[in-house]
Amino acid sequence: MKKVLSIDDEPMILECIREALSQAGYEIQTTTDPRAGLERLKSDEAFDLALLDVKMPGMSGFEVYRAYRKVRKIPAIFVTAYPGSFNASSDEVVAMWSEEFADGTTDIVYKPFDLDALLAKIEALIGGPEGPEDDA
Amino acid sequence: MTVRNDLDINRSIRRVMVKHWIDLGRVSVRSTQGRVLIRGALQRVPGTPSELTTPLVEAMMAEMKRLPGVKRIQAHLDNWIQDGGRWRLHERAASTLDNVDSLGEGGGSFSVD
Repeated sequence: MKKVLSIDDEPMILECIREALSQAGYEIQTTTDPRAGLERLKSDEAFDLALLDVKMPGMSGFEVYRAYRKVRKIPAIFVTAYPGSFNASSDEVVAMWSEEFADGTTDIVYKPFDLDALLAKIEALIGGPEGPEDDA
Repeated sequence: MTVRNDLDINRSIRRVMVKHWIDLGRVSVRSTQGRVLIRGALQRVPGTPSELTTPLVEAMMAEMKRLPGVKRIQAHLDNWIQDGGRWRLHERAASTLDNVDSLGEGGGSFSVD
């Protein structure tokens, strides 16, 4: 079963994501603490995907992403209410875009989002909950 | 054709989009047995020095079509339409994109092969 970690400082968002992904068959863990989430992603737990809010107190989703991707190239989807966060005039975004997004394992979903659209993006990125190796 | 192949195609399509600074939050990609469906709005992330143009969109579509395993690309876009064989910006749709919350409800379906 594919394992997903969702990090967002809004508990309601996490609850919606937890319910939707559980129903779809994914194993889902959540946390409102970006530092704790980063430690989980860097540890040996076999996560297949990280769902990352961008603006969080203490540590941004960008910081979490860049930190864990130095250790493990787990695919990611940024889930944010701020489309302007991804601005090509930002040195941080340019670096992230050219160094990490360029391998095609990162995607973006803007809030408010349709849960079906989020699930479609997850499936397009890591496949269905049970594994990608079976014949379609 | 396996699901793994389709995931690899999705990844390759995203790579092309990232290379062209396409805002991934406005567009979705899904491949089934080598047939690629692109939905939503094709636009660059804010702050990119230049906007998408017809030659750029055509080059991007051609690049996607050449990717290994891709049999067909169907683009159902809110803000670009294919007119007389050429892609052009759909001005009315583009002007309302800021109000679009979800992906790909407008436009039409166009095969580029």
